[in-house]
Amino acid sequence: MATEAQLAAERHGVFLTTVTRLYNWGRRSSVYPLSFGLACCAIEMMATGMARVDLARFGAEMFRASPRQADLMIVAGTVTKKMAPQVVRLYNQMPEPRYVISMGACATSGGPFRDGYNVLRGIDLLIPVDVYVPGCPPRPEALLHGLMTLQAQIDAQRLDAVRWYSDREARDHPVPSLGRHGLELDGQTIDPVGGLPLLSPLTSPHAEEQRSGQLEHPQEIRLFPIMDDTVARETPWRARGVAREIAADDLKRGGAHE
Amino acid sequence: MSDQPAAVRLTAALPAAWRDAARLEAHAADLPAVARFVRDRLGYAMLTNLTAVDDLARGEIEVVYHVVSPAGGAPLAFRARTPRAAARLPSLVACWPGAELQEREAYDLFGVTFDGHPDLRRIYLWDDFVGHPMRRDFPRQGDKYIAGAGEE
Repeated sequence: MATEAQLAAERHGVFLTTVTRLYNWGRRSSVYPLSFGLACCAIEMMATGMARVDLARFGAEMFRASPRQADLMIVAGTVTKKMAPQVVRLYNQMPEPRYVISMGACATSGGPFRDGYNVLRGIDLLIPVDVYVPGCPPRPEALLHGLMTLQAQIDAQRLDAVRWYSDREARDHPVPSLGRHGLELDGQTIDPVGGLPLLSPLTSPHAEEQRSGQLEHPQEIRLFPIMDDTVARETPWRARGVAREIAADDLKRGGAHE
Repeated sequence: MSDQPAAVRLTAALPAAWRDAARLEAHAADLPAVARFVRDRLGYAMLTNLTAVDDLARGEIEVVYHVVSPAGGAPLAFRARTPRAAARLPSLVACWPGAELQEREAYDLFGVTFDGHPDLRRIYLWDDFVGHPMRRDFPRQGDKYIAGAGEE
């Protein structure tokens, strides 16, 4: 709300704002995506950058060829298990603050290839995702809406709470290796043949547990989270994993966990 | 060029090579001779497709070769079968160089070993992967097969 004094000051060229707001304005107005496509979603991503939809209206037209210059990774398409280590490595090479949009059904959950032997069941098993864009593939308008959602999220971030500017020790996300039966982290198969992947902390658990911040059934064995501690700092409920009944209710688990 | 269809000329020229002449299924040992005849005498200079079929009921893997002639005419497909337990066939890379990648693909996904292939490695999957996922007895995986809810 602009007060009379503010308006009077603005007439003399003096503008009042907060550092957070100014910072967020600058950051959300220049989100540079990584020039990086994996499958047919990348075609829609290119169309989003072209004149008809024109990503440039939102300051995100600068597709960078190097992860060192990019703010946003649009995971556009099917992430095969063979490609997953490279995706995580690219994410690790991006400077913070960095954001991830999971574009399309395949990047979000594996999509139609979810039950196959060769496709990762969602990139959020390995890196944190800010915005999911559903669709197969999503239309350019949908990706644009995903970007605008991300901009709204950036607008809402507080400089004293955001994880990039804390005193934590910056660490890379663990890069999986290609094992005998699938992807491995620390010698443990994370996406086994004939079984479910280990639950990511980066999926969306039940809303109740999100709101209260309390574990509803702390005695239950938690499904093992793959994460880095920066997530724990911003959203502690994610770091504690998810109870089995919540996981059973989760779309990504298919409700069939035993 | 004779007016007879290529398949008729092929079966007539190599009468001993066939395990099932009606469907152009060659004996494994006679496969190179059949391939040379198809390429040199019938003019099929290009191998467009090499694929495999896992016949679990008969315990065999069938490898199908699709060839076309640049001069035109109908394409031709011939086959060879090999037991699943020890799947081996002679390589046709010497005849059609284009077979190299496709034989690697069949080796990767179906586990057919091609004798005489210059560089038989996995092509899609990584070297450490165990199993051949396009075989029909490869373990089923995924949510829909868990807790008895899967299709049979």
